[in-house]
Amino acid sequence: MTDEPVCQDTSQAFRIVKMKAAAPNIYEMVIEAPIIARKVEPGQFVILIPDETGERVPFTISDWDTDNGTITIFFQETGVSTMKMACMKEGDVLVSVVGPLGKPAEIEKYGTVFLGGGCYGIGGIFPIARALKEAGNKVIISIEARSKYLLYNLENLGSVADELIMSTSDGSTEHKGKIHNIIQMLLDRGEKIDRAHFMGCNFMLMISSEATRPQKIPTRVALNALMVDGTGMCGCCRCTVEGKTKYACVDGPEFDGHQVDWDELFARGAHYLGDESIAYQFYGQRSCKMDMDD
Amino acid sequence: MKIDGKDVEFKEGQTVLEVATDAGIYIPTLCVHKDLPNFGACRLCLVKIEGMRGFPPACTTPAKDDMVVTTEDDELRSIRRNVVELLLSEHPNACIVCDDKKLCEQYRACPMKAGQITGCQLCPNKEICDLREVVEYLGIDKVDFEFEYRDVEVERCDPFFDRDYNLCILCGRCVRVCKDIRGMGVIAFTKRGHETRINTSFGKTHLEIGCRFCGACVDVCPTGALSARGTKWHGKLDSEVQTVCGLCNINCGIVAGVKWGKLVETTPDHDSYTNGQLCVLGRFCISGMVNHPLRIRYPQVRKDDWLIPVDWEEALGAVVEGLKKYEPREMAFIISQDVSNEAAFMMLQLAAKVGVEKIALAPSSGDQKAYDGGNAFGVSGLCQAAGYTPDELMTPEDVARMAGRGKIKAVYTTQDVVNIDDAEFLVIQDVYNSHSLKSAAAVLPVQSFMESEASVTSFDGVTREMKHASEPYARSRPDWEITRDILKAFEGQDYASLGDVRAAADAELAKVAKPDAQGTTSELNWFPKHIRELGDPPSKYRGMDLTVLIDDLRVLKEGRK
Ligand code: SF4
Ligand code: SF4
Ligand code: SF4
Ligand code: FES
Ligand code: FES
Repeated sequence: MTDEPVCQDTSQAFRIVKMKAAAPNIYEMVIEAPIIARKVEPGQFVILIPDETGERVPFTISDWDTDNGTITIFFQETGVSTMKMACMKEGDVLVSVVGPLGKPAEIEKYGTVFLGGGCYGIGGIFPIARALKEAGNKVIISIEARSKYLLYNLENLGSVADELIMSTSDGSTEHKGKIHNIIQMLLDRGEKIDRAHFMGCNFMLMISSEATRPQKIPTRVALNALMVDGTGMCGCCRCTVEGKTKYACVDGPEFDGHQVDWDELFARGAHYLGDESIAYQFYGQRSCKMDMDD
Repeated sequence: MKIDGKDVEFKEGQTVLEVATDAGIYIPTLCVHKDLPNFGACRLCLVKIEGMRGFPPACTTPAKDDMVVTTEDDELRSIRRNVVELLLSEHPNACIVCDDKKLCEQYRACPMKAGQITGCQLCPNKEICDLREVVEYLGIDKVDFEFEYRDVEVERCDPFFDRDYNLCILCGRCVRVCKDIRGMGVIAFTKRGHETRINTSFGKTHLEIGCRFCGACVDVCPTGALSARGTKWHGKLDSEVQTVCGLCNINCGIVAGVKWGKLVETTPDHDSYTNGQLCVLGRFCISGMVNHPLRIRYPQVRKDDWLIPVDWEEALGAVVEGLKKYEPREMAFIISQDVSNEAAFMMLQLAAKVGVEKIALAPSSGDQKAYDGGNAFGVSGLCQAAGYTPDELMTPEDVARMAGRGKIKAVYTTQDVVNIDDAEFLVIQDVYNSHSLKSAAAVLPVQSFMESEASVTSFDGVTREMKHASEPYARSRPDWEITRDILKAFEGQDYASLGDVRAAADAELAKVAKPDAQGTTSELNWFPKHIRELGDPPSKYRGMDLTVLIDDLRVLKEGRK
């Protein structure tokens, strides 16, 4: 990572230059953020605030364009903040975008690398796959979804993958099942996997990591933790890896998938379920401010 | 007649389905709903009847003497499977056929809050889904037909509910409840054949077409196609409490859904006298009101021009000390028509003890409709029993005017009052932060009608109980208890429990004539005719305009104009 301080240039407008539904619930958002675009490396993320009363939410940077000064994120609608974002249009301006944050993914020549992506990770895994390909690896990408119509980003992934395998819960693609089934299939056909990368919901990270454990395949997972500051100060993103306390925002987001304390991660993720659910009662009440002086 | 070899009796006019259900024989159904006329849309309840060709639907076939019915055999089972699989060929089914569903449900017990529902794990309806129930009953874990996602846009531009017709199974329940029960007919089947959809005529928004946003359609929908936007992501409830709504004096039966100690939804109570129907306020607004950040959190006392949070003891001490400084004729009490019988009774007891004669009811009856005021009949009945004729009661405006002229110096009010700033000593016992607070000497936060037990007397003269559903907001306390403590400090009668107060209040109410129920309760299904409609004056709770609290209500009111 660079030593330069994380930038939050308030003079800059974080304009949305492209907003598109990539699949049901998944949106592709291209944001004007030239400084971030210049500095970002694969595996890093931004924390953005959609509107004046919005909370801070982290998103993996899924691509960038240094010439045009833009970054791309894929996000899934899964709460009030992302619902607000899903309602935004091209030309709208985000209140704040901070980044690039987190440690970049480790990119080396490992041999054969398997990348698994689910939900937002189908978009987010792309820069890591591209870098690994450029580093001379054989890249096998597998993506999973409930059904075929929920898969996206196929062209990008196809352009950097030696093999792109699609799996679906309902069997609407060639392979019925999930990424852990695909790993098993590859191992069964004698593929030697030297390293694995997973990006998706924590549930998918967990069961996919279990699939690489018996062969001791070095496995990296991009953990999803709740975050506030993203600079290691608030402790919100605390997790336990190898029995040690880590902060997903500065020590991660990538960790060894075989060493994560998943139960703690799920418990911490569920901590605010009540507040997150009740937040919907006030959606649309953003303008509700009572001025006691008038 | 005989069903599955069992001799069963039936009444004239019953359907085969009703006879079977009464006899304890389960026939799976989807389009049937107990409140609605049968329709025969889903073809799930098909049975065999000797002497009849094909497979008649049990829900629309009238029972006849000597009928011999078979409700279940291999052939029927496979027909039903086929019917459901066909439905699932257009309804997202991945979570039903997924091999990992056990683990997934264990780790992702709460639904993902998706905008577009693409599986049960993302669906707000999962815990109460009729479709899943049938799927489970039939043991379906694969679908032989190819799945085709309709990919129609989720409709979220109307207030209060989302409509994702990608999940719709065209059972027609929503159409029937809107037309036959609510008398509205806002939605209908449009187009034909493969293109059949539920929609408003001309595809207008619900707001444009005059939907009441009563939510009846949301409640009968067997799938997640229709869902309450603000109150749908709680997953499995911790508890459900049958209580009544306190926003108007019909006091409809409500089931309060509680989770995390908080009110997460309110749905109509089918056991209540209001037949499982509600208006937009009761169905969609109560949770947001009760959890609203504008609630008063702490007791406060004014010190050096600032309202400072203090503990209850100090706040009540300041109230008593303050009130003692004034002559009874310099004081006025303002009783909100939204408070319970117990609360109003205690206010009147305190007034009698202290010698206060100036009692005002808020809002003054001039600017309200018959049902406005969650307990209008109870509160005015208690005043009458205490010896106040309607003419002797003041209005909050009178109090404000007299305070302006220095005739009234101390005011104890249970709701926000306009222009009350001139009162020297103002005690506000209220639910929400309001403009009156800026001149208050003491502020006492109270629990809403969802948080404390109490009773109200509805417009039909029946006293109904409100239950404790969700945990009290911050440090709030029940109205009656606060006034009881003040009364105690004035060495008035001590009421040990709510039960004592209720008994005393009920005895008072028994003295006055029951309100005229306007002959309504005798009519079956009277409710829709009397449904409260949003109009002027704005809907308020204890003086607080609900459109300030609930933005969608503002959208609705503005859309109406
Ligand atoms: S409506 Fe029922 S079957 Fe359909 S997605 Fe929702 S929970 Fe699943
Ligand atoms: S909310 Fe009420 S009036 Fe509106 S469509 Fe539904 S049932 Fe009809
Ligand atoms: S929206 Fe719901 S109630 Fe209406 S037809 Fe569709 S599934 Fe039935
Ligand atoms: S987000 Fe605050 S420490 Fe990581
Ligand atoms: S239940 Fe009889 S046809 Fe639907």
